[in-house]
Amino acid sequence: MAKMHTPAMEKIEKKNKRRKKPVNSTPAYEAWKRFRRNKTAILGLVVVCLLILVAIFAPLIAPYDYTAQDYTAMMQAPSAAHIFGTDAFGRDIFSRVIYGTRYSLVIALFCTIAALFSGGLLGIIAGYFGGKVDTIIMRIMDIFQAIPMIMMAMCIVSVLGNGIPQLVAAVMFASMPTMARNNRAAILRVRGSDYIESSEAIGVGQVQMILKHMIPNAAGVMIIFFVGFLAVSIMMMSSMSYIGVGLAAPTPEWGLILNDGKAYITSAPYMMFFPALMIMITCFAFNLMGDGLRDAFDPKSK
Amino acid sequence: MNMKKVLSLVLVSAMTLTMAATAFAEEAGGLSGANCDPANTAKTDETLTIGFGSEPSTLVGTATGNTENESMMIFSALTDNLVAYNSLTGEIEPQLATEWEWVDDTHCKFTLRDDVTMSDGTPFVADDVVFSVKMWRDQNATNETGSIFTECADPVADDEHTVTIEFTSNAPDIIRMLTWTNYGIVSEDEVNAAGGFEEVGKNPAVGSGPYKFVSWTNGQSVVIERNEEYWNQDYAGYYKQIVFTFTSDPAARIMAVQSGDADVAYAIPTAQASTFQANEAVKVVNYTFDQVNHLWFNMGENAGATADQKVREAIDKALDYDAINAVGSAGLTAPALGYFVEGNPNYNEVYTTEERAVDIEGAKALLEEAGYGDGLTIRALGLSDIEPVYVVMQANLAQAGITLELDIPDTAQFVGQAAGGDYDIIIVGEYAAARFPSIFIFFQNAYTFCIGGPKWTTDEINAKIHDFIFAEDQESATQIGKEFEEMMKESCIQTNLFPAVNSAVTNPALKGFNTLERGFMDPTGFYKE
Amino acid sequence: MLKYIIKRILLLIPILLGVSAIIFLLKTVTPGDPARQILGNTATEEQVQELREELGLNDPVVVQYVRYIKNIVTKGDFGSSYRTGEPVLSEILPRLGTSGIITIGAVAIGAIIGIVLGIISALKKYTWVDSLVLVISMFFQSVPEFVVALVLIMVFAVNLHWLPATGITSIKGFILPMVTIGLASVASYTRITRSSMLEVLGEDYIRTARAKGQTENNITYHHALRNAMIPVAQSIGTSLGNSIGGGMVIETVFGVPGVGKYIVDSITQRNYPSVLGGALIIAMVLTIINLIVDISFVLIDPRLKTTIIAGGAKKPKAKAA
Repeated sequence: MAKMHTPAMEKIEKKNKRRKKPVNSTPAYEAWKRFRRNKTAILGLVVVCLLILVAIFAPLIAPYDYTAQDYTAMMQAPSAAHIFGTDAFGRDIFSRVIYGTRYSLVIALFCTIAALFSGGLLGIIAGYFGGKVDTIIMRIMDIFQAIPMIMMAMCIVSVLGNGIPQLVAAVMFASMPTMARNNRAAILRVRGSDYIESSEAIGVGQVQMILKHMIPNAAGVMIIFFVGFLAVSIMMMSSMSYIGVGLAAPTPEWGLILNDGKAYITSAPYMMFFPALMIMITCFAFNLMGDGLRDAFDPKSK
Repeated sequence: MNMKKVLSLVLVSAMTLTMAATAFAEEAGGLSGANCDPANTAKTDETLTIGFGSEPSTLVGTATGNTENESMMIFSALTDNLVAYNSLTGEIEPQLATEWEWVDDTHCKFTLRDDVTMSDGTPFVADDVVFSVKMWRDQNATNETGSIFTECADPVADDEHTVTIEFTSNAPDIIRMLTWTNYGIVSEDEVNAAGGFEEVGKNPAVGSGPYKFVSWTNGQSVVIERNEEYWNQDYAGYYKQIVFTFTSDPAARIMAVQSGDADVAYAIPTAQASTFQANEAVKVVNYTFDQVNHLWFNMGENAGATADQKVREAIDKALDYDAINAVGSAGLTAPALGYFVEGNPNYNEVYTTEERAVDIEGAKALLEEAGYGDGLTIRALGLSDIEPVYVVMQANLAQAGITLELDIPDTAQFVGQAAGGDYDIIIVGEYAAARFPSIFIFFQNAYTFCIGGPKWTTDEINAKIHDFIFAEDQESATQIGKEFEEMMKESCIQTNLFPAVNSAVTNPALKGFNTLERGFMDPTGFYKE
Repeated sequence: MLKYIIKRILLLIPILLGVSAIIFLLKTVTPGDPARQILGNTATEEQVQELREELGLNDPVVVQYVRYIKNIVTKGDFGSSYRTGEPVLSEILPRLGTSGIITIGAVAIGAIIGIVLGIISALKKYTWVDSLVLVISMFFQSVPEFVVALVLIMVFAVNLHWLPATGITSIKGFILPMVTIGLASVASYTRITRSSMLEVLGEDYIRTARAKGQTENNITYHHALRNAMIPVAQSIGTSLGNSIGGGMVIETVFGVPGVGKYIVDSITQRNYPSVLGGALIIAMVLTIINLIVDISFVLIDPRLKTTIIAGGAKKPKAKAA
């Protein structure tokens, strides 16, 4: 790419000179620049980082054992001793919500990685090889897509039973078609570009081609869906816990805490408020971040 | 007559039982609200809406040997029994039968009313009783309902208004059993018109009761309407129509009452109901009903670790009965120290408070001995309204190294699994208001369709139970009962938790919350002033 | 055109076969013996074996699958409920209408709010209004639907007494479920409308219109909007599935006797034939509705043929984010 001399570019040059190591204007760096300008997206990123810290340091933050019941302190409204109050078993809701960050984030991460590895990989293969492979994979995905996502997930969990592996499997299968489609589209876009064609011409191996050239170039779009899907899987999990096909009690997953509290929505709303707030903040942060990433990696869609 | 009705609406057993608790309950706003309003003979054109948690699979349970609480309560409004129980006097009173007399050891002759009309407009006759008894016997051969007729000969209609029924025994309280909702009288024509035993549960145009069936919209509601020609106008319904809706979430049921869509939210977990005590927009009703909730260990054929007495004792020791009571009855009652409710004539205090204290170390030692030192997983089966109790037990047992898995299906599924012994532990209570022939039902081999219990018994146990049922006077019965309870304690077959408390949330203006047997709510007694 | 329609209908067959295969696979891994479930716990082992033989449960899986399909095609037999013994199809059919009304209402509410917000944010792009719209629509995407439902019940039923808390005994009962499901889809409509509006506003013919001196309002509402609505309209068709899915939870909260509640109830009752049979029926109905929507779009505007075919069962890819 020929260097242009626009005022903006000069500014970047200057900035780069000021740094010890000059930063090349890679697509990722460009994206990061666009992302950084997006205040709402940065807010999302900050919140997500905070949540990750909370998850890591949960034992230090939580004042009580999240399973400890205390029938002398049942259903207490928020106070200095229990800042989020206690639930119907005298458990400290704050501690449960804090530990819940661990469970909810980690499970959501598992779900998303599983979805990316199954659906994503299928999409990449379909997009790369095209032709018959593409047709077969995508027709199979059409079949999966015919069943609404949450219904599919619930059917799977109801048949396989409650538990984290079952939940991850359910979300994975349910999200496979969407994931495959998105990744296929990302690969197709890259596939059309000149350098892939020239790499092919000089005989780069197919696996190497996918790993070294296609995936890194399609990564931006994949990251967008990765982050977005974290929010989707947290929502799905909480809905499933609400119906009773999520995880088994007393796991402090947010959906389950919410489910425990829903009995008291009119009489002790704080029991539901805090876990709902956490789900909301988390999904909101992921969504904001995802939206910022979309603008950053895929400015044309704006 | 009206006065009589007033009095009969007061459950004497509940009264005496709760007298002691009342002083305490008053300040806590506790046990109150059931069977305490004077009755009403006025009528209105309004509709009463009752929110149930679970939709029954049939409305005539005795036609297919399927008894679900919700089904029984709706059925009770459609039918009458031969006899009724007066809670105040403790007497059996006439209903469809005007009088009855034992002809010999197993035969009882009933004289019937001649002014009663069934739902299809035909007069009520002895043949209807004959048909009903045969239905109870043949369709319920494996459960409580049929047990008192099992292998008995067909009842005989002596004439249009006299019938002789054979029973399996003449146990003192056998006629009182006939006051239960299960024994509502239906006619053969009605059942045939509906399409037989399987179909009548879906379209229950049966009985001579104060209400008639109108419609059942699957997944939504059951509608019944006042029987304007009801023979017993003193007990005619106040509401023109009663609509039963089914909402599985108790919070949503309560919200329906708060918003005015429903008048009664039935089967609300007591802890949840008690959070509304101070709320003036609703009224909370809590009541006990001669039933202690027991924790049964499965000792039957498909029993797991609980077949080992050491494991049972370990669980018994690890449980925190105060915490269980605090959650289960919202502290409205005290942990039970005997099989019967305090105040029941058969009550014996076989445990001391000290024996009920938590002993985690003792439990761990026993588990170690039993070979479960590195942990044990057991499975509890329960209904959702008692789920909080299981959650407490889960935390208690976790301290002793026992993982408790909860299995909380809906009512119909629960009944099937509980009858089949598909659990390690189960919490069920037995309605033990009198020495019914089916008392200690969980040990009686005759009942293959018994919901819960140890699924196990011995000849010694059976002999003891027989002696208890047929004991000549109350004093010796209480003594035999005590010996039996000691036996259960010795072998750790079950453990007593707390007296069962039923709770409901109603419209604050609604009066006349009356109960039938087993704490069932009588849907027909409600009125407003 | 006819060729296209026939091709689409033929494509339906492998999809429906595939869906039934997935459901059938789930059926085979379902815990518990169906024969034992039907007979109950009091049945003897011989009776169970007899019924297994009778139901063909001992046959090879492939044989069972062929019979399963045959029963569906020839007898409309999607299995029978363990609970009532009734065919799943006859239990679900009366509920389809209820769910259909709620879904259509929800999609309408979601689409109207989403389109309005999308237009606003496109016209005010990169201003605080744009950000505000983004935040509002994303808010409803970030709160679990059942929480929104419970809050709406609290406000409109418990406190204001305007609408019933649960049940659909009157028309009013439909409002809250529709609004709840609709709000969750606002974000995706907003996003599609916004990006398609921006795209259209950048097209040559809009510039031409501007150059010709037409008023901004005229350009926005007559030229841009009409063309920008095409992708939005397409996404409405495909979002029916999501709404039905969301309806599963929401119907349960509001006690609406629709197909969603039927499946959720069946899940809690562990009534597997009803769960899987119901899911299959819903999937089939959705597939057929999507086909009808696609075909009607093509009939209205034949240019769409290429995009619809090329995109496969083109889902708006915005959904995941």
